[in-house]
Amino acid sequence: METDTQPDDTDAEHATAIDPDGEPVVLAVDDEPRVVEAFGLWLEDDYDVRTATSGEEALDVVDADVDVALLDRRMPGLTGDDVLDELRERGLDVRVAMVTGVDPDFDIVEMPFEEYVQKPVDGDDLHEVVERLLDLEQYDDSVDELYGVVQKRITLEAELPESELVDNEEYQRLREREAELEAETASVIDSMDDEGFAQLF
Amino acid sequence: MAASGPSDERGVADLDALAEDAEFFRSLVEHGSDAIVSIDEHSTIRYANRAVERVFGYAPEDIVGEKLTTIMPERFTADHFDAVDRYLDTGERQLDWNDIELPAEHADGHEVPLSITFEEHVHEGDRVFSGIMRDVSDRKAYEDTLEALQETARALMQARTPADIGDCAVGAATDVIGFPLSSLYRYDDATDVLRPGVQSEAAADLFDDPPTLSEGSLAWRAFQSGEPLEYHADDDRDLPVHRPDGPVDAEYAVPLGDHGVLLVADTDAAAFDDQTRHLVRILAANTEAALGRAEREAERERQNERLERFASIVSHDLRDPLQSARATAALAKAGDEEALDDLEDVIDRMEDLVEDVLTLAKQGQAVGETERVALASVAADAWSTAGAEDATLVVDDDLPALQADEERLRTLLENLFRNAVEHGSTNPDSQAHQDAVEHGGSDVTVTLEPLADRSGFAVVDDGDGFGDADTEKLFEYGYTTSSGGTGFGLSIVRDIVTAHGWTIHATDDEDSERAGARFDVHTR
Repeated sequence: METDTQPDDTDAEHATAIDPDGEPVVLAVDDEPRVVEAFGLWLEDDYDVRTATSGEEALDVVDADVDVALLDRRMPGLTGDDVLDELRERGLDVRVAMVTGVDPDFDIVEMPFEEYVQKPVDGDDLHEVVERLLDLEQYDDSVDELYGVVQKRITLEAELPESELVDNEEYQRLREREAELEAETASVIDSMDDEGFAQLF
Repeated sequence: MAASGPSDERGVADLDALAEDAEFFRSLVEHGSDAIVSIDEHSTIRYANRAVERVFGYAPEDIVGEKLTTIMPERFTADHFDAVDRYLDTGERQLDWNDIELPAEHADGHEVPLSITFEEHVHEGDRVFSGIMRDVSDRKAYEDTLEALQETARALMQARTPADIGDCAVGAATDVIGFPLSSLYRYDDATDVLRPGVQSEAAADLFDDPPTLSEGSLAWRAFQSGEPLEYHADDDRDLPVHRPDGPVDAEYAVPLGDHGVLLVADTDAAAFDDQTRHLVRILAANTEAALGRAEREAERERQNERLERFASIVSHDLRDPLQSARATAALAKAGDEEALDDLEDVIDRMEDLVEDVLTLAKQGQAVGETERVALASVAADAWSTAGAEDATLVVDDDLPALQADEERLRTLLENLFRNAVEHGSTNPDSQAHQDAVEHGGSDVTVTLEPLADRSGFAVVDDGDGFGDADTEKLFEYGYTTSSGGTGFGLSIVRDIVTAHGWTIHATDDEDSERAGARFDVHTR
C-alpha cells in the first residue's frame, strides 16, 4: 500500500503480543445466562470468549485485550447502551455490535457502535459479525467510523419507512457524515483489494 | 278570485259583467304586483304600471317617453337594439320570451334580477311589446347562498380536524348566510356539557369569555332533543337563554348530531325567516357529516398507530424468547440436559405472550353487553385461574354493585391478580434485588376492597409496591419489569377499564401494614 493511511499494524501486534493463544478476544454480554453460554459455545473454537450477564459485570471483565464486544441493549441495571458509552469513555479500542431484540430507532444514530444485529442470531450469524468487526481492526479510525455510519444507515433504512427517514434530521446528518467519510477514506478504499472491500461493505 | 263561493249565483253574474268592463283590466294591470312596461318599435317606453316604482325606483310618468335602455344595464343595450331590429325584419326571436332571467338597472344604479315574460300585440296600428317583470332578488340571493353553501360543503369535507371544520362552518354562517354572531359548541363527553369551539369574530368580541352550556340553555335543549330551537326576545314562550338580558335578541340553535350545536344569533329580534332557517339547517347538516367523517378518520388513524406500535412491540418481545430458545437448544445439543427444562420455560413464555397478544388484538377496546354483576363471585372465579397455591385472596364483604361485561371483568381481575402474585412476594430476600417488583414470590395476600368513597374498587397486595417502576408506563404494551412476564397483562386491564368508561390508577398502598402495590379502579 502506498497511501498514507496504512493498515494499523500496532493493534494487531498488540493483540498478538498480549493474548497468549494469539486468538482474538470476544466479550459477550446478555442478562440471560443461557444466551451468553450459547454465544460462548458457538464462538469458543475460534476466539477467546469472555461472558458477562450484566452491564456491571461486563465493565469488570473488559480490558485492553478485548477486540470485539457483543452487547445486549435491554438489561436491568446498566443497559447495553450504558456499557457502550463507558467503553468509549475508557478509550478502549474495541469494536462493538449491539445484539438485541430492540427495534432500532433514530436514537442509534448517536450511539458509537460499529454494528446493529437483531435477535435471534445463531452461531453462523455471530461468526460473521465477529469476523467483520475484526477485519476493521486493520484500518484507521475514519474507515472504522465509515463502517459504523453505513451500518446505521442500512439498519434504519431496513426498519423505518422512507417517509419517516426523509423528514428526519438525524438520518440526514448520518448521510452527510457518510459522504464526508467516503471522501476522506477514498484512498484507503481504492487501495483495498476487491475482496477486502466486499468483506467490509 | 271572487270573494264568494262558486255556488253563489250573483258572484258569477258579477264576474261576467266585470269582463266587459275595460276599467277593470286597466286597474288590474295598473295595480299588479309585477312591473309591466310596454315599448314601441323604437324601444321607447309607452306605458309603465305603478309597480315599476318599487322595482326600478322610477315613477311611471318619469320613464314613459324614455328609451327602454334607461332601465337596462349598459352592457345589454347594443344587443337589445340588434335583437329588436332583427325581430322586426325577420320575426326571429333571439330569446325565449317566457320567464327569462335578466338583470335591470335600478334608478340608484344597482342591478335588479328579474324574471321577464314578453308579450306582443298591436294597438291602434302600432306594434307594442310588453314585458311583465318580477323582481327575483330574494330568490336569486337564496340560490346564490345555496350555491355558496355547496362550496362550503366541499370545503367542510376537505377539512381534516374538528377545529378546521368549526372554522369553516362558523365562517360560512357569518359570511355566506350572514350572521356575524355565530358559534359552534362541541359536546364534551367527559363532563356532559357543550364547550365553546369556534366563535365568529363578532361573537368573540361580544362575549369575551364564552360560557360552557348545559341545562338551562337553548343550545343544550336543542342538543338534547335533536331538533332546532329558536329564541326571540319578544317571544313569550319561556325559553332558556344563557343571558336573557344580553344584547342577543334572537338565537337559533341547530344540533349537530352528537357532536354539538351550531348557534347563530342576532341583535335584531326579527332575524329568522323560513329561508334563513333552512340555510342554517343545511349548513348544520353538512357540518355534522364532516365532523362524523373527521371522527371516523381520527379513530382509524388511532387504530393504525396502535397496530403499528403493537406490531413493533410484539416482534421485539418475541425476539428475546426466540434468542433464548435458540441458545438453549444449542446448549442442549451440546449435552446440557438441564437446558431442555429451560427450553420448556421459554416456550411457556412465548405461549403466554401469544395468548395475551390475541386477547388484546381480538377484544381490543370493545365491551359487550353490561349487566349488574356481583364483584365478589367474579373475583372468586378469576382467582381460581390466576391465584397461586401459597397466595391468599381476601374479598371485602361490602363491595359496591357494578354494571359491567362479566366476561371482561373477569379477565381484568385475572390480570390484576396475576400481576400481584407474580410481583407481590413478601420474601425479604427480594428486597435486595435491584428491581423491587421483579421476582416471582407467591406467598402474597391480595385484597379486593371498595374505594373509600365507594366510587369503585381496588386490588391491593402486600408485596413491595412499585418501587422504582414507572406507574405511568405500567399500562403500556410490552412494559415489564420481570423476565417472565409478557408485559401485556396490564395493557389488557387498561383496555377493559377504558372500554367500560372507567379509569385506573396505580399507586403504592398507603396502608403501612401492607405497603404493597395498589390498583384503584374508578367505575363512577
